[in-house]
Amino acid sequence: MSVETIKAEAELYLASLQDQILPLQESYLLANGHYWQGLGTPATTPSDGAVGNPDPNAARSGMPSWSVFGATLPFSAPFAVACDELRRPDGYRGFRIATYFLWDDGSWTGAILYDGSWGTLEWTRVP
Amino acid sequence: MTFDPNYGHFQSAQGGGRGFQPAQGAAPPSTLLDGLRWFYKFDTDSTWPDAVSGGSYWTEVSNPTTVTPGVIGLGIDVGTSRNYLDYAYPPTNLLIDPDKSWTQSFWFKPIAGEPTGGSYHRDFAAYEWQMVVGLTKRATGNYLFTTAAGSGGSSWYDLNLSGTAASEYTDGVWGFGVFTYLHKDDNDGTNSIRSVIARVGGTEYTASYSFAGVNYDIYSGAYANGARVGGYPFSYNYDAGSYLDLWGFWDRILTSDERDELYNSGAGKQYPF
Repeated sequence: MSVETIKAEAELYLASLQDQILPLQESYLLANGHYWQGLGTPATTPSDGAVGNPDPNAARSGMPSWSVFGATLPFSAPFAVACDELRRPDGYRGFRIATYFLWDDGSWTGAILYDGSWGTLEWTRVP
Repeated sequence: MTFDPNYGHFQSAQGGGRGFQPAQGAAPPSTLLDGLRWFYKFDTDSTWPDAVSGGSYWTEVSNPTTVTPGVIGLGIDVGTSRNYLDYAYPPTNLLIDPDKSWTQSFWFKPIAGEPTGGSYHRDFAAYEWQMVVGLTKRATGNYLFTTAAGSGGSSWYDLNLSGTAASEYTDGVWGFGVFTYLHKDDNDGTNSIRSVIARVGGTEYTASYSFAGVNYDIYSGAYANGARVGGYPFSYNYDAGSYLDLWGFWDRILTSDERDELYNSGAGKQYPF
């Protein structure tokens, strides 16, 4: 398995999550005044192509888990998944879905931001 | 008759001085106000205002919260679930000049229970201009005050303050650190050097590093895009597991006396000093 293979798998998952999570987040925002945050899972970041098992019961403190929220995680994947909320004092709200994994040349993260519309997927690497 | 603020007395229309003398013995303002660009007390959840400008500029990512106690007042907890503050596009009034030396000062408090990591694990990171300042947990369980600098997002250089047991931070204890970028004009004309100063148990530990051929990339890189408190730039794999308080930023080098003033025998000092 290569980095490009993992990235391609992650991008397929993110594309499916985009479709699924947006209506869920819009409902959650209406009900709670802020977006839902998905704790990064699995806790041990998959490394060098080895697959991990994201935990649908993973939850940030005070937030529903992935499964309770309704977002589907891969059963097994060579990457981890997270969802962050972004907000500013001026009322700005957004959320970002991300996949990330370790490779021998560093840490890779692919993320897409939603703040009224979807941004473009960006991959970054930290050696 | 008019009041002449330059002389602290009333002046007659003919120019003759009358009235009172300026107050004697008043303490002069702290020199720490010179070149101070921002100072964050982290006492106000959600808005996180800059004490110097009064403005709130941060984007909260996953709700960092205040923590009690800070060094003075409250601090910020960026350590529980990869939460942090992001400063993607600093307003111009806070931009620093890349052609000048600058200094950041911090107080860190590592959280007990963080796993002992390898070279990738950093427990706190504040990021500015493609530089990271934070703590790296060692196999001993203590923390080095550490920095990393990147060049165009591809080459990173770790600059750890050499670890001796006495210079390391420990879980649950606030520690003071200063990070200085020395521009070549302040450094005998040679290329840039970054200086790291940690204050542990009242003793100052200092390290400096030569950066030939790297500094020019730091400022022109695509990632020279702001600041971050907590987390690690661009990555989910670097936990932020510490508390932070009293983050100051100056567009100059601080003197030893000024560092002493900020440390204040372990009690800290905050704006307006």
